[in-house]
Amino acid sequence: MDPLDEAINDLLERNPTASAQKLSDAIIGHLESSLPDALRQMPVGATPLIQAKIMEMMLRRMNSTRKAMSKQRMSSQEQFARELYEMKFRLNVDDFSGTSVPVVDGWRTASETRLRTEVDGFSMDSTPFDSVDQDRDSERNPIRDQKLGTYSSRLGSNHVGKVRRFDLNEEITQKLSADIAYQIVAKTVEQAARQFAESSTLEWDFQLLLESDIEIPSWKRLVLQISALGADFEERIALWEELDKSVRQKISELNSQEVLQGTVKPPSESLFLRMDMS
Amino acid sequence: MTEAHPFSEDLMAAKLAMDKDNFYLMSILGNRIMSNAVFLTQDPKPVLLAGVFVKDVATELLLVSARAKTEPISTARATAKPFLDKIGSMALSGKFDDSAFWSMYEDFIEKVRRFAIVEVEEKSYSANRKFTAIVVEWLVRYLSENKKLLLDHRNQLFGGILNELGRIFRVHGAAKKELVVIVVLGYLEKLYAYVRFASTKTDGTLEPDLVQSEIYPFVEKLPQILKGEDVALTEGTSLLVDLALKWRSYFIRYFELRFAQGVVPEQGIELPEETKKKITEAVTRTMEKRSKSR
Repeated sequence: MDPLDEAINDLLERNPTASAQKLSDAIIGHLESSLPDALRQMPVGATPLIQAKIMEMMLRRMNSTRKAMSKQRMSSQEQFARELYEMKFRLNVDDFSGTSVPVVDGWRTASETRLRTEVDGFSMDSTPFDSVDQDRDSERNPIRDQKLGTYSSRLGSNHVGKVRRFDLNEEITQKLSADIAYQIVAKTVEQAARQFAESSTLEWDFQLLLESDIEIPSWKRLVLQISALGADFEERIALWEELDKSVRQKISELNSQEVLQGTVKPPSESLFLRMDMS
Repeated sequence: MTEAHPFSEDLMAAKLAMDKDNFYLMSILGNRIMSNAVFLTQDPKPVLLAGVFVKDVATELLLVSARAKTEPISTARATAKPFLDKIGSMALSGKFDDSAFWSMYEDFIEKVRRFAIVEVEEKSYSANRKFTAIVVEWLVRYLSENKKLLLDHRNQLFGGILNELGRIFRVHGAAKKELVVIVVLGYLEKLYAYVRFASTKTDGTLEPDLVQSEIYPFVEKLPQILKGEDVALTEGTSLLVDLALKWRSYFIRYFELRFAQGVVPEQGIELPEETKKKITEAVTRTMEKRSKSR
């Protein structure tokens, strides 16, 4: 018997005189009130790193048809995980008033939190916060889920997404707060790079730099420094080309209101993408 | 600033958390900065406002990072960082200037608001501070004229108001005067959450006294700060300091409200009509089966 029928039979045993409508309302009411907690407790499949690596190797050996099917399946799993994750996040976002770093198994009492905080100090990279087991207490410590990315890609490790780092050098950082044109371009480059990385099976490090030319120091150029971890030489060359195309395409589509109205012109510096081949 | 005050260390921790994209922790450190301002006898304003700023930076960045893994969070963080450095230095220098603080706040919002809106909004909306000003005035008047709603235990007035203001200032931008009101309203909501909790009777309704004595005076002062930018900067800042101090004091008394006893349980998730229909059909079918088998 399916669980719903079983539950209905059980309810009928206990409430033999209840009408069908009353019973339906009771079941619906119960489901609706239980759903938030059920969703909070649902783990969002994080794939252990080793399994991810095995999957990655298997994919490489598949023929193109099987590869496409596997990728499609993984993509729909990823989509489901993303939606579940977003729903969990929405359910959990509250305006916290706290002053203490929450303990790994949730906030219990003020004194326990205080004691734990004294032990942890500011060890923001401490093991509990990076623990794979974080899903278990996500209902008590919601925004940490968001930070640590409790859903991770099928082929990703357990950190947030495929992009391990995306850094900006000091020179471009200073430009960003002073000049909206740089902000628009940097934002577009980062978005394009992250989108490309998330659709790949690799992990990536990026750095966006504003560099001076060695021979003509007044000539500045934007450089996106790329590291595709675990890719061999040939793969890197191919990815470099694809990423270059993808980023330039996004830049050419720049059409925020400011750009459309002509109040902001994208900076004239050339953009270079540089792949780390070491 | 007295030697005993750990503000510079709190600020360093907030910056470290920001560098590590841990905006949740950064928000907590903003709370911590504000709470520490309660404990010392010196003028709490510089530290409190720096705490407000740290928390707002964290909130804006949380909004960006919560959307998707492909959002440009590093560019958003790098855009916000120089502002945090400036506000921190100003609070540490002992030469805090309300006008300079709000100018930086305005500039910060103008630079980061685009990160928290979706592509469709970014492509469609242009800056329209006049519209934001009209909405702020309308909502402040609405709140003022309907403050009795705050005594109704079902009301979500501040949530509703801040929701409208949030979407509007992010797509259209806001001038200093309106930003002051928006920030003040945010802290009024935080204080109201505690006052509401403290006023809740066993049947779930609200005892009016505390709401009237703690919240009404702030609501009544809000229209005043809309009279002009100078008034907004002086009176608005003063309201904000009072609100933040009260909020942190209530936190000591009641801790996190989500863990407090007696908080009304959350609303459930509504099932789709189709699912409801299927459940009703399953119940009817099972009842029919049972009656036939008897």
